[in-house]
Amino acid sequence: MPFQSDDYTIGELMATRISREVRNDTYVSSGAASPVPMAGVLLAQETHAPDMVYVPIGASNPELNLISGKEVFDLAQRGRLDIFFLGGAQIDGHGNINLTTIGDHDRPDVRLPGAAGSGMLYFMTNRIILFRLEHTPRVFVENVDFITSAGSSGERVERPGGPHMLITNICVMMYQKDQKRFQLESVHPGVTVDEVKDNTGFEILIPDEVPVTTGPTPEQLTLLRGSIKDRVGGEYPGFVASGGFGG
Amino acid sequence: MPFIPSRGVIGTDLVNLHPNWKIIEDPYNEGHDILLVPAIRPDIAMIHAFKADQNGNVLAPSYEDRMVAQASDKVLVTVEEIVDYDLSEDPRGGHLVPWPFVSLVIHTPGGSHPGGMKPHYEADNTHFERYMEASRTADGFNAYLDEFVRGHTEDEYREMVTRVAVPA
Repeated sequence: MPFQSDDYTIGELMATRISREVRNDTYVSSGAASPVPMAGVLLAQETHAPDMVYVPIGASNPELNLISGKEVFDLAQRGRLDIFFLGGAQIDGHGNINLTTIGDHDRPDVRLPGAAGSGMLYFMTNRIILFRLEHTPRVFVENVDFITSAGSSGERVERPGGPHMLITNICVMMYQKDQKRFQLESVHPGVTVDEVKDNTGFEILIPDEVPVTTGPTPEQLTLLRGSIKDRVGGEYPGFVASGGFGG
Repeated sequence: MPFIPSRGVIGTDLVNLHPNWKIIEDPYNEGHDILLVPAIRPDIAMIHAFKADQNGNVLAPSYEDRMVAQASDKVLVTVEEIVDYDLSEDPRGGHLVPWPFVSLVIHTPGGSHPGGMKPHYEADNTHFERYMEASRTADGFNAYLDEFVRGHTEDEYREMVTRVAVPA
């Protein structure tokens, strides 16, 4: 059974969970095709993190486009970027992500957009939140076909940051740095642990008790469906038009 | 700058694709490795920009445009507008590429099409979709080239793709 709720959309649930990760007085950034992260970060900004600076790279709204992509990369290199969001055509159980090619690299089945800086950001951003709206075995594989960015590094690599959380349309997992594996944190309403296992191509650490992901409060939902929806819609009209927000 | 050190990247397959990248011990951080990436020296760079002035100063959309221009031997720039004031005195709204790094300027309104050129015009997604569909096969791609590219001038192309909003 996929996610089910009469009260909120999957995007609103994911945004609500993402917002909890955002801390006040930090820099947070996101890249292309990230409407759900944008909603989550803006929700944090409107609630517990008013002094957090959010800089979605390439935003058309001048109130969001505060600094250029170069400044985001420079902040990350200095260790001052707290959260960045990455997706991946494939994400494996060790946190490696593939944004380059599916299949044999020299004769690929699919050529993807490419690294776009993730090779550095994954290492230097304090916490990377991985997100996908498609939780299937073709996305979540045991080993990616091409390591565009690596989930972990040996001791000869200075690496302050890396994967922190993986959030999808069915569950939330937290990256366990010591084991280089993801641990299931919660399942979304209507989803069972077995369904998560069946739809994941890699081994997940599963604790005895797995709670259901907490949905938005009425106050959070009001914010999401008000000014946040407008701002996300300004950057991602397709997401809003396709029912990304309810109400 | 002959090369640049970069954090991250070590341990990715990107390193395997670039035999000329080197991983050495960081001379300032004993026991740790660092990646070195050599400079790229293009023979020719092509940039589409907002504006150019009479001296060849260019106002470009992104900071990378200046880096690309400085790295390249010849720099061909197409622009939306030619202005009659000195852009080096007033580079508002873009990133200045100073005239010594510009070889040639061509006035080409709508030159990003089907890409966008904010704030002049948005991307033409309808045309992109058509291009993507056409480029699925060699025949489709050839037909696309015949229709829009081969044997057509820039003016004719602009005429055909009606969604390009050319600035006044």
